[in-house]
Amino acid sequence: MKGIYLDYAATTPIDIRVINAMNDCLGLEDAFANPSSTHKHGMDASYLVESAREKIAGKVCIEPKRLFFTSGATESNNIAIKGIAHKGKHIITSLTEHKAVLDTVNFLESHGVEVTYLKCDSHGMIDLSDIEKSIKENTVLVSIMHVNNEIGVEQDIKEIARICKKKNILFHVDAAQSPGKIPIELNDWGIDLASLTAHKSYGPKGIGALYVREGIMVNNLFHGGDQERGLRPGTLATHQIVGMGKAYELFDIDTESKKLLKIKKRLWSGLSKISGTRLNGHFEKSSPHILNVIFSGIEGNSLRLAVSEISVSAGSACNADSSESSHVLSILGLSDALANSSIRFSFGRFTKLAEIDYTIERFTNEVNRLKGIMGKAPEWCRN
Amino acid sequence: MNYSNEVIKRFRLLEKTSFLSKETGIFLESDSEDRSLGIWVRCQMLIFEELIKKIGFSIYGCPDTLASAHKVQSILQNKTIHDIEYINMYDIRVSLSIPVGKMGNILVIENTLKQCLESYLEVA
Repeated sequence: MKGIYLDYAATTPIDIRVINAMNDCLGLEDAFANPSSTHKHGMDASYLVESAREKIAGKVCIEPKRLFFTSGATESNNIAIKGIAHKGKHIITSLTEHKAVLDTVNFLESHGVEVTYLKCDSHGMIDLSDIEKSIKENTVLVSIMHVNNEIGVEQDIKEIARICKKKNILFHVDAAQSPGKIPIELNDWGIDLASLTAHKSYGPKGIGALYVREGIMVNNLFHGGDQERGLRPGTLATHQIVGMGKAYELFDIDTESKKLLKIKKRLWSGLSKISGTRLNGHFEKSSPHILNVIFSGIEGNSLRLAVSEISVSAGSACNADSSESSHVLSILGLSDALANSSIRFSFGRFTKLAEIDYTIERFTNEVNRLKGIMGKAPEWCRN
Repeated sequence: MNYSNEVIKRFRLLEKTSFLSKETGIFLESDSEDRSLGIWVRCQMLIFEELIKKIGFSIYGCPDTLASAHKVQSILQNKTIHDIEYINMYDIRVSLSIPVGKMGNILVIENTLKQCLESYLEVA
């Protein structure tokens, strides 16, 4: 067996039904036109865009008109955070956020915005009382991710939203990982802003959305048109939006989450039998599609090459070119050696149990081979 | 993961080297490490009448380091202990198409070889 893909948290393949829907928006005979145009071709495209907006909104429980299309979650995070916070104001976020949030608040920090970075426990969970304690008079925004992209832990965003509402502070959620795997009810849970993407949920790359609750004023980052009511100007990418809409339409969270949990349990059951393996994160309080495992005493680059027919990630795939340890694993208290020995497995709709069994077998064999080669390495290599 | 074909080939061939206590000869062992690079190397040799009868490495490190050690092992097997002096890690790096930025990693191997040679000269 060759070429197993276990990196769904980085991106998913596009579902064939999504590809077909996108193909219907490209050629002369299709809905290719500019959806802002008022002629028939334009109106056909516009109909598909609005239909996609409704499908997506329905799956995250919001009104369609509160959803604004962007190029993806990174852009949505930028608009949500930069569009709310400005000099002299205060933001609360966590140290385990994706770089799309951390780099954004870092940028604002250098421009006079005050930022509080919340720590987490050794499992990656934020202490909710820390949020309350960190709120100041000038706090305008709390930004916390739903599911961590590296270790999969799920923060209690419903409760965080309640805390923020009580204090009259806006709450933004980076929800890039959760749609389609775990339920998310943005409106009912009281979330004010949320970043979504398509490519982590069997849709195309390059398209995402920002949810903005009714009544919230978000300053736009770009100028150049009235599309998306001026919040995100630029010609709408009909085929991408239709792809995202179809991908969300296909969500069957009950069935898929059960399947993913079965895979996760099977994988952990097999890998945990290898001496020196430990779990990063929290098995129960996490999304069913991510499992992050430490192979203590095994150098990570060597392990990844040894099992290179299996596509997995060392920490976040976005950091693949960086030699630095994952910031998330460091926050959990892991040494550079243990962070380096950590592998993120993530699976999805097309993962087969036979692939999981093969993965367990290959990791077991290669970890044992490398243990033999690495011999009795000193403590710092193992702790 | 960008590794040369030569590195990948040698990396896949690597196996644990065992030293049996009943084998006759002078047993040498030395460790070297560079924690900033995340590399630890242990070199073990069995010398009989100045010949390296057996050489093995235990390594915690990246595939480039492991492959370099494998290459050194294949060069020195059945050579004299003094041939260690002719091992040039720059040449090893070039022969395995390892990027120059990884030179620090494989120089840890050279340190263990030199220590083994020094130990031998002390006991011989």
